[in-house]
Amino acid sequence: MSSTAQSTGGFAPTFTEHFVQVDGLRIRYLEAGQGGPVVVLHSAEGLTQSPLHTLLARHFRVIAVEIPGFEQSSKDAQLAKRRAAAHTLTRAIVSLGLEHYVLVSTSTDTPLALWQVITAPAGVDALVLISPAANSFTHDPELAHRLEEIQAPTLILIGTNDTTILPETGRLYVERMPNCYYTLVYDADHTIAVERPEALLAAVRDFVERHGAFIVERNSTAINP
Amino acid sequence: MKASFFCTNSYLSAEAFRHQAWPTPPALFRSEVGLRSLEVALEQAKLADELGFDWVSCSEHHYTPLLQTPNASVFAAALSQVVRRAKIAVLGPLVSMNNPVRIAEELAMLDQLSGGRLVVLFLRGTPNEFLAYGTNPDETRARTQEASVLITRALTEPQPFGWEGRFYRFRTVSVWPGPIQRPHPPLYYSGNSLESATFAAAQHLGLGVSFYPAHIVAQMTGHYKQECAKHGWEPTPDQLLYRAFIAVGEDDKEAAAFQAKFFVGDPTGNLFRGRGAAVPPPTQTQAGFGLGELRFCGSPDTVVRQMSDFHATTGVGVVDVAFGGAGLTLQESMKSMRLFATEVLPRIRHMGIGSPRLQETALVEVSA
Repeated sequence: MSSTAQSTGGFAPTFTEHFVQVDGLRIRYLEAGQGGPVVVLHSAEGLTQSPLHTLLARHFRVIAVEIPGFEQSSKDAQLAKRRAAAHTLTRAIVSLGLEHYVLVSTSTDTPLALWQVITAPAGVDALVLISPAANSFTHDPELAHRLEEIQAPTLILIGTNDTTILPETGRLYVERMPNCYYTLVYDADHTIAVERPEALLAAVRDFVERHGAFIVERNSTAINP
Repeated sequence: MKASFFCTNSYLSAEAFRHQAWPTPPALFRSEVGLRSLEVALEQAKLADELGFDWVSCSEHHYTPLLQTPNASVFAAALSQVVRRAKIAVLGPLVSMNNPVRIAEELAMLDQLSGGRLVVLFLRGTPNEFLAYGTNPDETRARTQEASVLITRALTEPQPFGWEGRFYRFRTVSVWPGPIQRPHPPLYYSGNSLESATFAAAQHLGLGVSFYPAHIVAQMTGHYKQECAKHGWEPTPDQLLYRAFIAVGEDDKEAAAFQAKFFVGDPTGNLFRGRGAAVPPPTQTQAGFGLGELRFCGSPDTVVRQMSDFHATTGVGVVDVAFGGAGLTLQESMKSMRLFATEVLPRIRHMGIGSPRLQETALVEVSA
């Protein structure tokens, strides 16, 4: 049994593969779980079920969406294509009938998630950025400028052992986004879902349920009530 | 080599020490003795500053008249107002047992109160003391490691942040005031095991070892330096700290007389027991812990030779020394302290190299 499955009590959801036609593209996605919808981005081809998907599917309806098409382009072309990809993603989500959802991204998928929230904010109830790439917006001045528009409550999770992310990354997001909660996950590297699955799930579940109110302790601390 | 005066704030009455088990009942505390003990401790600290000690230190310990500093930060705050030149060294808070964010807040305040002279060693605590706050002994190593990382981040993160740890969860950490020394005061980690030394190296923390004999300390410091190299850095001698008991006499005969009565009872007897309950020793503890040994003892010449040998063997650059065993009179421990400061310290300063790294860290960045 995998460590992720062990940490989730042995629950191993079965993801099913689906397709939706958008903008002339055949968008592939994997789906599993019950509950509120959580869209997990995958901005490259080759989407497979990941430990993160498995974790989240225990408590949410997970829709892992593959948005291909621009990672092989030049950097300038990437920036333009990423914004276009956000529009494609919006239409894909609409076609799935999702009026409200939580958007989750990891690592290099972060810029796409940010553009998605900026261009189509209405449906995004909350944003979760896991191990966001350090240069998600530093290489895109327009994106950096527009981060302040993101009103969706945003949770950023960074592992304390992550050597791929600059130490100041969390601060940079908090300084630019008005509704941003930056959390360090102790003893995790870039792959938080593998290294500290319980910690990641605890933070994400509480944040998805309560948004900014998740900073208010609600668990009883009484020992002998 | 630098010298730190370990200000123990010991209770100045033998009555309390006749109860040798831990904890000592509060019924044995006399207010007038407590007040006088504190006055003396602060006088000793002031004298240490005047005599040229580089640091004046204190340490958190619980339920004992030997070290009346259950909150090292409170005592260090008092020290900061009577010690005007030497660094204020909190060696250290027991981070496995306390709220790490609270510790970070206290340390930031102390750095302010001392005008940027704070030095900190993250300690785990002795097994019996885990009973004081109901801390599971089996979890203390991991709690110490996590708390140390959290405290460091709390002192350095410029924006509010949350912490999702194994033992600690905080959704809002935003320490104010911040430390004066940037990015933070010099930080050390208790390295009384190879695993702890490994952790200290990985976290770029200085190493503090206590009471072990030289050959074991050399194992720790050697291992630590190897691990530091793996992480791409090299510690300075000032980042190797050693705590010990010491007695300096006018001659070896007088020092031997001090040694004969330095300790009352068995100082190690209470480490693993409390109120009749046995507390298991930490796993991976190195054998040969010398808590009840007088590491440096003799005439000034003898102690200079002992410290020279110790430095050559271990590379330690800072010695944190305690002069007052429970068996010595106040006059005897003060005599020992003065002899060390005037006859030993000037002759050991040349050992090791001054730390440019510590000097850089101590630069005060003050915004208008």
